[in-house]
Amino acid sequence: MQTENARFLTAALDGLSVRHRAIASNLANSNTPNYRRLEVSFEDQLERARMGHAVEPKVTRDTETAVGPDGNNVDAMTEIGQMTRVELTYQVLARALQVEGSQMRSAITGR
Amino acid sequence: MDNRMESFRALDIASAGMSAEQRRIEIIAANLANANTTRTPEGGPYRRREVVFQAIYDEVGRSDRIPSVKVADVVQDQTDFKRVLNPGSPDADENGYVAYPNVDTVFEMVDLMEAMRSYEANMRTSKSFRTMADAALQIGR
Repeated sequence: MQTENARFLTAALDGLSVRHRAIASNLANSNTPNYRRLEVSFEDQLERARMGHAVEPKVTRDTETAVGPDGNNVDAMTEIGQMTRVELTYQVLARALQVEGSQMRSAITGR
Repeated sequence: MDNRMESFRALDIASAGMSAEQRRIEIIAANLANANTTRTPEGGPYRRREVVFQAIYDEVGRSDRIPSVKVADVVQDQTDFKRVLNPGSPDADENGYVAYPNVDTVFEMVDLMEAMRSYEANMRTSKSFRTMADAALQIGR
């Protein structure tokens, strides 16, 4: 059984891990001709996750950022910044989920 | 590939990125080492080589929307050779000119720096993957 909060946090962690994967791909393909960077959005679905709906992170291709001479629009520095952000948010949310679990445990055991 | 855990995909991508960049560095090293090579098995001076990267998608699973990377090809640079007047050389033509490889060492050095930075970016991915996996493992505690 999961609390509403736990469902919310789990969905957010899943979304962040897909975003991390997309950034990994962007960095690996920063020298691939005609590669357009991938973006992941899931935040708009998190409230629904609270109600028990499944969250499907959306992966889209960024066609707005200008491309370089090789048709690639990945800027490594921006991606690394995004990655740090994902990493830190992930750590905070994982910690929150851990606390959520231990509260549940102490409610059950009375300790 | 289909039995590989989806969760480790970021790590696979980072490793693929590192091997692709490593291949690129090898090719740059070959270009620099042969910057003055006037004789090759195929005849004539050494032709500069270049790697071509390609995004690759797995056929199976949800992950096929997020590609990995590989070196698709190593191509030869078809720009003209440098012609230098050096009548004393055994490789000089009837006018005294020697054709040297179309390698620009400064360009190669800049490319090398870029390749190293890209390699480090992929290393950064595997580091952050570890941090996140550690955090996830703490959840059950």
